[in-house]
Amino acid sequence: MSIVSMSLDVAPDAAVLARPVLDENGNMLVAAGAPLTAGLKSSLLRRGVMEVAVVEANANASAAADSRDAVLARQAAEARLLHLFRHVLRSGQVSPLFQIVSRYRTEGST
Amino acid sequence: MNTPSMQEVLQGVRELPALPAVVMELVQSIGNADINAEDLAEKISHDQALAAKTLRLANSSFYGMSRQVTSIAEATTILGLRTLRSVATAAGLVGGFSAAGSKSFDFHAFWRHAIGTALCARSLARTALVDEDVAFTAGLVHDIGRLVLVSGFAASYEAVIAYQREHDGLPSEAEQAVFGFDHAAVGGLIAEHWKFSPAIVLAITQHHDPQADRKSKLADIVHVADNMAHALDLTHREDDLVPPLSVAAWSRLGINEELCLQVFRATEEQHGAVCQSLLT
Repeated sequence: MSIVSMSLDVAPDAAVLARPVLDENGNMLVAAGAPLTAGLKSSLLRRGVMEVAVVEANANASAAADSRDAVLARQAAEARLLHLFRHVLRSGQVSPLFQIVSRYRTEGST
Repeated sequence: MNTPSMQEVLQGVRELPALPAVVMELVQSIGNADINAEDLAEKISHDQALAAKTLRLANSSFYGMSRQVTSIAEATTILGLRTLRSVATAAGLVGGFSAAGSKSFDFHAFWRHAIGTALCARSLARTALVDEDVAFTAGLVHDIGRLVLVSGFAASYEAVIAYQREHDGLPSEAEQAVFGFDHAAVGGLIAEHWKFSPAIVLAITQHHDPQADRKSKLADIVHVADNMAHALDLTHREDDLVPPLSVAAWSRLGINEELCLQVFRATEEQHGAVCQSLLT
């Protein structure tokens, strides 16, 4: 995966974060794998975040690299969902929401 | 540290500074079709901060208007009175609490989640044939009890946050451990005090545990919307947590995957614009 650091205000919408965004205290604001949106960029800029590391969107990148990036993004999304649903999963509850949001995050939504 | 009893919280709720009169009037009129549009628009216009925030949200991409509106009267005509009332209520409520007094409570994340829940509730209401604007408002205020506790009992709420961090649990579990009651009960009290409609009071009180009742469709909607908003990771907080889902409420609403995906997409498309309008 090719990672490039860039100024947040010029980062393209839909660019995928290659590293988590942290605040000044080291608390995670956004997990790696999350796509940038206009709203997210505004929110981060307001919180003083000036630079982000994103997966390089290179039109010439090989299909293999794209595939690796997709796998990494999917793994990051899965890890984040497991973390968000940790209470539900620990207690063994059935959650149809977990299954659906997992597919939404990892298989894309078209 | 002395933790307040439910009686003291109730007293604190009664002594809370009132919301601006126009916001109280908006809150109390939700669900009432018999209101005077011109009168309401004039009252909103007289509160400059409220009018400015209302226009900002009305002009955001959330409502997708083809041209900018520049006055509350114009917004009433284009959006309709019920939607304008919901927009102005949101603007008034979000501006009605301050972060003063709390070191650890993340107000920004609180409102990001509340707005996410409001948007999910609005989308779910459309399919459930429930008033979308009422659902939006109910979603926005479902956790209002947390704000009351943070605003009125900041020191005790620091203990709640510490307990939650230590046990990696839900806010309601931490509140039960520290106070002996949770924000849903307190939220019901404040909503009654502010004369919200009984359906919204019930939705706030039951948002963690909706009961099967023909009057509680709104409670089912807010409960599922709360879960969805957490699952969509809208707070940007590392420690966010999806609460237990009532499968009974989910089933009563007849939710399927297609509807879920519609709600997720609509919410993620609109969330940034609404947050920008209300939180800046």
